[in-house]
Amino acid sequence: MEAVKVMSLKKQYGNQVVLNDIEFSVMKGEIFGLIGVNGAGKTTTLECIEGLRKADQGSIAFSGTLGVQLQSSSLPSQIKVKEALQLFSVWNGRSFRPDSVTVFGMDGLLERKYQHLSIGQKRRLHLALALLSDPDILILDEPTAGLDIDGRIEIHQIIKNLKKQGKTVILSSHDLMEIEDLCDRVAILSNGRLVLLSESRDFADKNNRQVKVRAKFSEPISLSETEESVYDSMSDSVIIATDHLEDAMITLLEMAKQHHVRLTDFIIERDGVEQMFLDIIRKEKSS
Amino acid sequence: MKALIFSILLQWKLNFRSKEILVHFYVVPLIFYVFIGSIFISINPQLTETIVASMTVFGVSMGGILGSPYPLVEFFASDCKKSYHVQNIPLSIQLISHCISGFIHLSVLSIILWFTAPLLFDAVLPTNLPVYFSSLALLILASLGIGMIFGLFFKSASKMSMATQIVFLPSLMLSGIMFPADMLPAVLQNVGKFFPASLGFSAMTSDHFTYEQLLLLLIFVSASLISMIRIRKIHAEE
Repeated sequence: MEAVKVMSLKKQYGNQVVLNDIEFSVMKGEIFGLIGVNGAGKTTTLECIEGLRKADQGSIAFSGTLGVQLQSSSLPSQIKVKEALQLFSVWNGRSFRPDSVTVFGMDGLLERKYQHLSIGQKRRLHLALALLSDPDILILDEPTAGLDIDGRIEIHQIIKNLKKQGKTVILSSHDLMEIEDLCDRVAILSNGRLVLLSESRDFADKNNRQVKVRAKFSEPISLSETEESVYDSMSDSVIIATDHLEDAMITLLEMAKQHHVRLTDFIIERDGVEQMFLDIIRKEKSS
Repeated sequence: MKALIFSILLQWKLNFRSKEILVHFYVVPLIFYVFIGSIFISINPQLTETIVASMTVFGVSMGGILGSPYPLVEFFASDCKKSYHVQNIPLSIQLISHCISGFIHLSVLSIILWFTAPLLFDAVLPTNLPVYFSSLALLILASLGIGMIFGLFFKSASKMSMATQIVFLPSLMLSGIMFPADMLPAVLQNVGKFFPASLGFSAMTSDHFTYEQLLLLLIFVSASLISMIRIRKIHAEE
């Protein structure tokens, strides 16, 4: 079941087209990743969904209520955490319970002024505010930007818990490892166009991805041109690209036997979202 | 309604925590009142009849025009407005709560002056209370209205601060609160009549309702309309 359906979204600032026919659906209960380089149109897409920007063309349909954590958020510097939570609760027709923010690590910060919070604490506060109304769909625009590793792990855990609760999450991030770790599906934007929309979690399924084995031999070997599995070779090492790790290992051992050398070291590399993203962006640039 | 009341009370508390608001709403007006009030009275003892009105006009003008725009610039020139908007809090509520909160603060200041002036300076209190307090209320609203415009049209607090002086200083000099306005050249006397401080001082020292009250109301209504239009534009620009 679709939680969000974006259809033929177009947006232009003057002569500059920032969104060109963007179309995707986000299924209920999934974490959907939106990635792209700066200026690709991620934030504009999200702001159109959030209602902060009006698209020139196209439509957006929701099934459920929306909670939003913006890329750049702020609150009055003198407001205390508790007051912000109370204010946003009362405007959403709810009463604020201090224990409801324990999960965000906010319980010890309730009397602290916004200006005295760290970046990570501010991010967690804005996430807590976005969840105050118990929304069905959550839009998180670069939720871990500027956070240290602890902060990232905390936010990741919160997002994973949201999925467990059946929430739909749309996540924009520059951190491709984060996208790979959290998202069920991804869309890649480039120059305002949707250049890839994964249809399943295959993009992150390590078993279905090509494996590269970088192997080092005890002595340099000369490889024949017919050895198709060899992706790249240097004097004493080769890189084999294969869909199956076992095949690559057998090939390497045979190669060592054939050239009377020893296999001294090997590293297994897998193509991740990062490689996929780089390939697409490179292809886009060259075209 | 509950949400609106909460927003107003919160804004009132936030104003108390704001250095700029405290300085412009209370600290400087009260220091000015004590020192300058003493000097005025010792130079011209007849000023005991107008000292309450003149010091109140000064304090309200300073708070409304110079001080009140600060929280608005902080809010509307930053990402605060987006954060509120996505949480379904109308931007106009921020303006309304700011205005009501400012009104309460400046009323508190005026009441402090009202009760202390007879003790400190043997000041004579105005006799027509409905005229005095209605004029005061309108002066506070008009000053806050002008402050709202500055707060909404400037994106930097330092630029806003300089711009507000363009209204505040002539307002102070030409209103007749520092020295009688009839000592000024005719041109300046006429110019001075359009400043809220002049209108407020004239209305507050009168013993009957005057057209100045209507003009103050007109300033507030016009400023409110301009502010609402500006907020719609800010909303559209997001």
